[in-house]
Amino acid sequence: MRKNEKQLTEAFDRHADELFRHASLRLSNRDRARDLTQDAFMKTWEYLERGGEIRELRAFLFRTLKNLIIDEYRRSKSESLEALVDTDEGETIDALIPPDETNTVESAIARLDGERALALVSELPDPYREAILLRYVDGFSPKEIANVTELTENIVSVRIHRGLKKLRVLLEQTS
Amino acid sequence: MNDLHSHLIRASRDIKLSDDERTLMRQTLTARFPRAVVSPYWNPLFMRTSAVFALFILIGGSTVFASDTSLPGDTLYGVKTSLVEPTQGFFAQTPEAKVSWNTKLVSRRIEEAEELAAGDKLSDRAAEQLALHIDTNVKAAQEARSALAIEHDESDAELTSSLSAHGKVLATLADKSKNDSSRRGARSLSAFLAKWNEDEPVLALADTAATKSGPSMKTMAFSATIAEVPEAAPTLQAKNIPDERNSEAFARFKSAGVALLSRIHTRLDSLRERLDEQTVADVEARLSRLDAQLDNATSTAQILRFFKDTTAVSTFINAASKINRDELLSPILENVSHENESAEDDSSGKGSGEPEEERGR
Repeated sequence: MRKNEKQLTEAFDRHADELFRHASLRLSNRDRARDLTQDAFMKTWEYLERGGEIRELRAFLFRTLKNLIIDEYRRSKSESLEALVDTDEGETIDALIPPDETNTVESAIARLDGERALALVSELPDPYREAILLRYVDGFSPKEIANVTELTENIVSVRIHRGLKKLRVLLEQTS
Repeated sequence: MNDLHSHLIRASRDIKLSDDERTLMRQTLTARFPRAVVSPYWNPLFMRTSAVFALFILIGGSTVFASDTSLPGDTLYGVKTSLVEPTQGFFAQTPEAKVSWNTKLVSRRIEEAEELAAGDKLSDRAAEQLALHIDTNVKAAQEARSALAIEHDESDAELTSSLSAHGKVLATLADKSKNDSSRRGARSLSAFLAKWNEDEPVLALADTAATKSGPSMKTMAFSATIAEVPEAAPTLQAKNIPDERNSEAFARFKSAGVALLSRIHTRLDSLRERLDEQTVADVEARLSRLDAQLDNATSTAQILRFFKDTTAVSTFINAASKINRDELLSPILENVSHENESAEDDSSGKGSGEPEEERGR
């Protein structure tokens, strides 16, 4: 019992932020992202309590989150068909940044570029977006991404590639 | 796409949970963790009782019964004193039950000591252990006793008389012992028991500082050499002695005395085969003298004297029959003639001029 508790709290301390970040970039909705992050940890806890073993914790967490995000999409599918393809209706990046962040001029400038980039990523179709985020924000290798998404490495590379291509297009369009 | 990469990293770094959000989430998660459950079964009495039952079932009730006759040093002795007896003791809830249970334990410990001494096996350690037990149980009996409202009780007299009588038995056994260390053990235990001074009329045991502050064993400096009878031992004071003018109490004491005598007679009958004929005859003579002593008793002191003497006889008979040594009885039988004289003195001295009181039969 104690072992699981320890494992979970350590997992939380280490990965809560990045999970949340990934969720918010996928969903463009801070509140839902928060809920899903919590759910991901909760499900992990339940899995441990049932006696499950986790070899790679980070991948496990992301995979759990991924599945939750899919469920979330399916749920909101009736609300908006474009959710899978286009995230225009989502909130701006600004809303994703927590309210208690200090706003110096420097970080504002840096953020502007990055925000634009992120905004562009948000416009990608979700399969590409997922791959890009996992690769360039969360720092997984293609192989790890394959593990998380339960797809082949091949498909993962293809998605990253196509995602980048699309991003270039979007970049040219906006600038 | 390096630019993009770094841009993305930098920008996304800002996206994270606020401190509040983080704390709240963490708390919600840890709230799910089960609290440490205190097992209601981790409880000394329960464990003891189940251990006794478990022994019954696994090894057979014979173990629990077999432990009954075990002595200090035997494997099952621990089972007896820390499992079986406490479990039985638990059921003694009322003060009366506590008094009689503790008294019973005291006699058990003493009998164990006598058995060991008779076999020359009473080591210093065993003697000390037994003395400690006896001390604890006598204290418990005293405590329970003081909770009772009744002023005086014949069992008090019996208890203390028997303690000092047992002391004498042990002293006798010590004298006859062939083993040095056993003799030492028997002597020290005998000295310990002698603190219940039989010359003082006793009904209730007064609280003294010594009894209040933990086992008096500690004040005894129980050494390997013959223990001196300590001055620090609790002194016994007469308390609530029935006034001979209180005829009701007096009568009660007398009938208790009669009952005691008849109990001894019965006991003697059942032990007839174990003792030699002459011994039995001597004991019977002694008992009939005691009978007369009781009959003629008109004062409290006489009644107490009677109790003391009778209990001594009872104790010695029991010891002799258990250990199969008639010579144990010699100390009390030898003094028969002297006792007789002094008894007559008593009744003639104090009761002179007064007509004999009710026969109380």
